[in-house]
Amino acid sequence: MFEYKDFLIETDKFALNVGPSHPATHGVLRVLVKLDGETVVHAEPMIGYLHTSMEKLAEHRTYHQAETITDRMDYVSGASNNLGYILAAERLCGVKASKRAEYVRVILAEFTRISSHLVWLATHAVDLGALTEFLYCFRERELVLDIIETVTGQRMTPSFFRVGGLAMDFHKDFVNKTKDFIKIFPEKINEYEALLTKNKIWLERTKNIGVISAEDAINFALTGPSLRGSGVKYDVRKASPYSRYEDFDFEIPIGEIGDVYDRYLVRIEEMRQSLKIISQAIDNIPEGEYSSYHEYPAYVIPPKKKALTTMEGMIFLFKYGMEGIKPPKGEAYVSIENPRGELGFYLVSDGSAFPYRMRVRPPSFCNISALNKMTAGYMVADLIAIMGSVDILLGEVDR
Amino acid sequence: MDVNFALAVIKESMQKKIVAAGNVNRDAYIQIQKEDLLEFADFFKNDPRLKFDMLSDLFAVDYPKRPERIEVIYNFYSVVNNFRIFIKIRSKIDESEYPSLTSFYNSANWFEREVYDMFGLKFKGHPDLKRILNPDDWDGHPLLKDYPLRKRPEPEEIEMDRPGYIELDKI
Repeated sequence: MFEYKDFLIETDKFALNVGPSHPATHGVLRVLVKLDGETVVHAEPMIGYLHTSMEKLAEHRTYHQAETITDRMDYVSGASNNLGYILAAERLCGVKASKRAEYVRVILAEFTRISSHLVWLATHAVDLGALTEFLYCFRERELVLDIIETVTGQRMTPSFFRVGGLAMDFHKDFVNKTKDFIKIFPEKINEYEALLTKNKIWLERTKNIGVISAEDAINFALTGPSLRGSGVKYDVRKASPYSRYEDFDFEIPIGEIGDVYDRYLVRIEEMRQSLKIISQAIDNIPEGEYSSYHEYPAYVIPPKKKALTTMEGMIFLFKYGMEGIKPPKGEAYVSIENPRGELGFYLVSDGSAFPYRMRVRPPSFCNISALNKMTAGYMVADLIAIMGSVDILLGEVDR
Repeated sequence: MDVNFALAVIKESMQKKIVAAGNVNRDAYIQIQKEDLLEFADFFKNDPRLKFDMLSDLFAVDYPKRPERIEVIYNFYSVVNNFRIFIKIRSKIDESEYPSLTSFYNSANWFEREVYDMFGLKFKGHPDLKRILNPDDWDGHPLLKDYPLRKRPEPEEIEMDRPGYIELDKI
């Protein structure tokens, strides 16, 4: 006959391999989990499955060729990554973009934030079993990508910014399409919230899960919504404004205890604030040049019209295309607020046309490094919720 | 408060140990010796006027012509006071006494693994120093300037039957 002890399963020293090809890891993250029964004792993220050595590649490209690497790094928020890189290159050259260009940059970066948060919300909700949310989010994301495509010609990897301004002026449909979007989108955010925010199942899965305190979050160098969910009011757009963010009026939403639900609320509110910034910027786009070629002819691409009508414009365009720009010797660091956190670019120039070193301070890389701290003590099913709430993107973690 | 205040505080207490000071464009940097790093980190983190509570970034730059070719750059940020300072340290690659900051900042753990992976600099006192982005059996350190851009391992170097799992007692 069986005795009671025969039914007990040996549970200690049980290792579970989540990923690298698991749908809930949003890419090729592999997490080695040590389990006690169903409780996570230790979770170690193992990264590098998507490593393409982009920092090394950038050393062999000219400054503007290297820009195309940056949006492939974080392919869900391409324009935002381009912005950080271009600001660093501009600071290296001592160039300041025109006001018109900076407003368009801000609008594109905020659209990118909305589209990135929509992808996050869609996939995060699917991980926790809410499929309708996925369909809703991708519906509006298509509108956002359409607008980005109207301006830049690309949906996800724009590479539209240049040192000193933009590649070209924006298309005439851009303003109207944006205004249409501003009209419909607030109602859509309410729609997303109606499905989840007070949903009993959603609350059970996310409340008091994956709690990380403010001190721990800062010590792990978390940034972005993962840090603000813990109640730290740190946003690069407010702390050290770049690209004329000081002109706009917006709030920084913060959470209370730093659980999955707080991070969810922060991101939802951020979409509203992004929309607020866009609506302020689109009404006030100043007239003028889209690039500051006249102030800094040595570093800024000449407008095409100039090249077709004047001799020196033609020569500059030719030199620009053949040689690239050559910033003076020096180093520059710029950090911006990416949808995922603080994205920093540290550029070292040796005076040649190629960056001597391009260091990316990757937000997702730091955010996922705290995974063990967040998951220890929770269930295996919560691991999926926590990984989703951190919002990593493996292209940028591995670079 | 701006970073000049922080620089004044640091110079007041640590003047003798600063090798050089200057600007990274708009941000300030100070260069120090690697022996003093732990003392600086302790001072940065715990001094009530500074409170550099976040090690925002840690990376290295390779200058092959210098006798101490690796320049490690630390990016300290104070969330409370909103200022940032860079610390630069020069070192050889095969330095055996290079200190690790993992006892002060948790974020240093992965950053130092990345520097080890990409440059080969070993941090003394790191709890789990192994490669992070490249495979464990990778040959060389890719971000060194003398590492070619297009390097492929020879076919016979690849072990096709190498086990893909890790023993449990290693985690």
